[in-house]
Amino acid sequence: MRKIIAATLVLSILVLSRCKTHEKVVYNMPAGSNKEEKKAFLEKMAKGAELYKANCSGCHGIFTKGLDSIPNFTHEQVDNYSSGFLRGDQKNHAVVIKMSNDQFFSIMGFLTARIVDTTVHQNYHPPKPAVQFN
Amino acid sequence: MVLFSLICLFAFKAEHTPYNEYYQSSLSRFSTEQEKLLLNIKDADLTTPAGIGVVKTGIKQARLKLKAIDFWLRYLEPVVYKKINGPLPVEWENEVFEKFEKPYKRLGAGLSLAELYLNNKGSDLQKDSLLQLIRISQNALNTYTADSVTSQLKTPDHFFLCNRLYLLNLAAIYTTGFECPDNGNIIPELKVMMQDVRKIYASFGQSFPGAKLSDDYLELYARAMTFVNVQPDDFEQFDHFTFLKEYVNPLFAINQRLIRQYNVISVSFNDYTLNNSCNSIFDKSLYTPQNSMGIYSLIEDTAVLSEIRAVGKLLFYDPLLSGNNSRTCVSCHKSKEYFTDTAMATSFNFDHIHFLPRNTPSLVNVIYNHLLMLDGRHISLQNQAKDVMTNPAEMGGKKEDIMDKILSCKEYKTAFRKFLKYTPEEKEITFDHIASAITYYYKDFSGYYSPFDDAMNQNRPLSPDARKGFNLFMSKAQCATCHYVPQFNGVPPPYIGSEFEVIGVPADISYSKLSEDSGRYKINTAYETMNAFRTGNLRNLEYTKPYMHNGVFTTLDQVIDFYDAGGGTGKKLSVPNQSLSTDSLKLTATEKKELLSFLHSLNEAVIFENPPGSLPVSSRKELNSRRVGGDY
Repeated sequence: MRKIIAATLVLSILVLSRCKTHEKVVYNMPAGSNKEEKKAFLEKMAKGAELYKANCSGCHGIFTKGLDSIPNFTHEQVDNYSSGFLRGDQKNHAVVIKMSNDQFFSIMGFLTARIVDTTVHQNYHPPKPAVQFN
Repeated sequence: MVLFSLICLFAFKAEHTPYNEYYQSSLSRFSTEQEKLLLNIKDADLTTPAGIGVVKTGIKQARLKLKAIDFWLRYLEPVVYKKINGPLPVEWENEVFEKFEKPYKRLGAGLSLAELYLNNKGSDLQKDSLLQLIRISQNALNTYTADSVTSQLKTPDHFFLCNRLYLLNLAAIYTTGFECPDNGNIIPELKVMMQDVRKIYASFGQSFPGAKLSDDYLELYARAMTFVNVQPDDFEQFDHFTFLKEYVNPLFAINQRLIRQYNVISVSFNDYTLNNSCNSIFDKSLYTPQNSMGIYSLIEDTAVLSEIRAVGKLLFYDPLLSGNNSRTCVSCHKSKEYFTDTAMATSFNFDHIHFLPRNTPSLVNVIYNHLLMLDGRHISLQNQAKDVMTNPAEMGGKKEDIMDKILSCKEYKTAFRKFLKYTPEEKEITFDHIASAITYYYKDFSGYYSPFDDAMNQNRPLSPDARKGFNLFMSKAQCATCHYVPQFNGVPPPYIGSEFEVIGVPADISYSKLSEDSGRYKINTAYETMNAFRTGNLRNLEYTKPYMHNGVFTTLDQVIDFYDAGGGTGKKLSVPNQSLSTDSLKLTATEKKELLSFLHSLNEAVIFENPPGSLPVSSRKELNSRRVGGDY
């Protein structure tokens, strides 16, 4: 029984520590943004993060590699996935659940602008901004 | 060593299937014709009719070899195809993808443009320009031998997708003269093309025995060929209606079945709007329309969706969306008039004194446009709705003010708070929640069918006049080269872009001058877009008068007369960039009557709803005197 409690404790600490880092997500902000633009940018990011949690993290979530519980997608992955969405690939989850363009590009924008701790992920190269917001 | 030879054997095998060989040899047959044509032009004396005649014959020969490979070329690299047989010298943005980018320019080249150049240039004919048009098309053809293209030929998937586009083009383009300047060649070319495509089918069947075209398809295709072969060569005498109804549409249905059966996957950006589960070209599910759900896209709960629709309906009739609490969506989009205003050429300005510059478009079937507003300034229904609400000349509202007023009504507030739970990405109720509810409401009215659709889909009878009218529509009257089957709007196969045309609409009925509205030019400043407007949808035409962007014509007879005369130019107005043919159509009175009869067969049995009895009560007493539908 003690073992179970100990294991649960360790697990919750692990989970909690992950949650903590999740709050500290930093973004690659467009250079020269003023205060209002920064605010709008962060709102867009928060929207993307929420949509990600609701629609993607079921599979690409806590059990995968990222410290903030969101995997570090490469530029190529983001690009390919966007292309699949645009051409209506029926294997593309966002197409299957009929996500709107706005919603989809909020998520891609979030994944693109998010800065990942590269000291932990040495093979990781952040995606270059491929998606333009309207 | 053994392994190496095995690999070689497989590599050899993959490259030399009968299908691949037929592809390569057909391509080189066209290439040879291009080369011959170049020599022809070099040798020809273009100052004499005989010299021009020799070049024209060369173009005609080359066109036939092109038609033999059109099946592949159009699908595999549609942008490059415009260099081989482009319909226009300059085209601006077509595909919906480009909605995410600024419009950009595409230069066309190839056979059709060379032929038009020969026809129109007169004494200014420059041999170099003509040679250039063919040289560009020669270079473009090289794309089709690149690995990126030929690698697709190794699996069967592309074949059924090429075939789908081929069938859609048979329905909408190949029989109408869309890319064939000499009308006399349309049907002879069709006859040859159908035979050549059967050879493609045969070589494919040999190479991919596991993913064959079904027997019922091949049998019906053979019958379609027999039908076409006994039809007259004059496209005006060709029975477009029967061809489409009895052959092309059923072939499309079988091909769709095979796409599902073989689990065909597209890797192309060319057909992403096409719906694999649709079994008729005239089913409204043929291509994915605009997203009417907007922010509510991810909601599946039908009970919540019907609540959203109900709120959307209230908003549609609610003057709170306007700056002076007197105007609503229904002020211009009248719900009993196919969501347009049949009484006014253009609706009142917000000031209730002046008039707006453009006629109110019907909202019925508006979702089938990929670009919205007559100048295509919007890419989503929600942005369009937001624009109208906040436009000082239209509803004159301010976003924050509208939100405050709406949320001052308990009924709205409770509803939107509930909807907010289904859109977790938003922390508070947004303007998008309002706009998306409105667009979700009115999209339902685009789901109805017309007697013409019923004839195509359900074998219901269609009057002989309407059938004749359709045949005219597809041929002599030249309507179908811009108003494409099946929506009869400006969206051509593969249904991914909206087109704009310059037809020279006058400012008034006496044709004193051209309408001063620059149209698409306001969005994209290019010579070609001056006075261009998005091609209208012809469904429900009888009930959606007045016509044209400025509502200048009040009857369809006036509209037909305008086109019959050759548009603005034909009516002696100066329209240097008119994209409509400037020649008279020479329609007889009987033909005009038949054409009208066909147009009337596109009236849809739309069921409209009564306005809501009352609007939600606001906590601000002064707002409660507002009227359902507004004041003007």
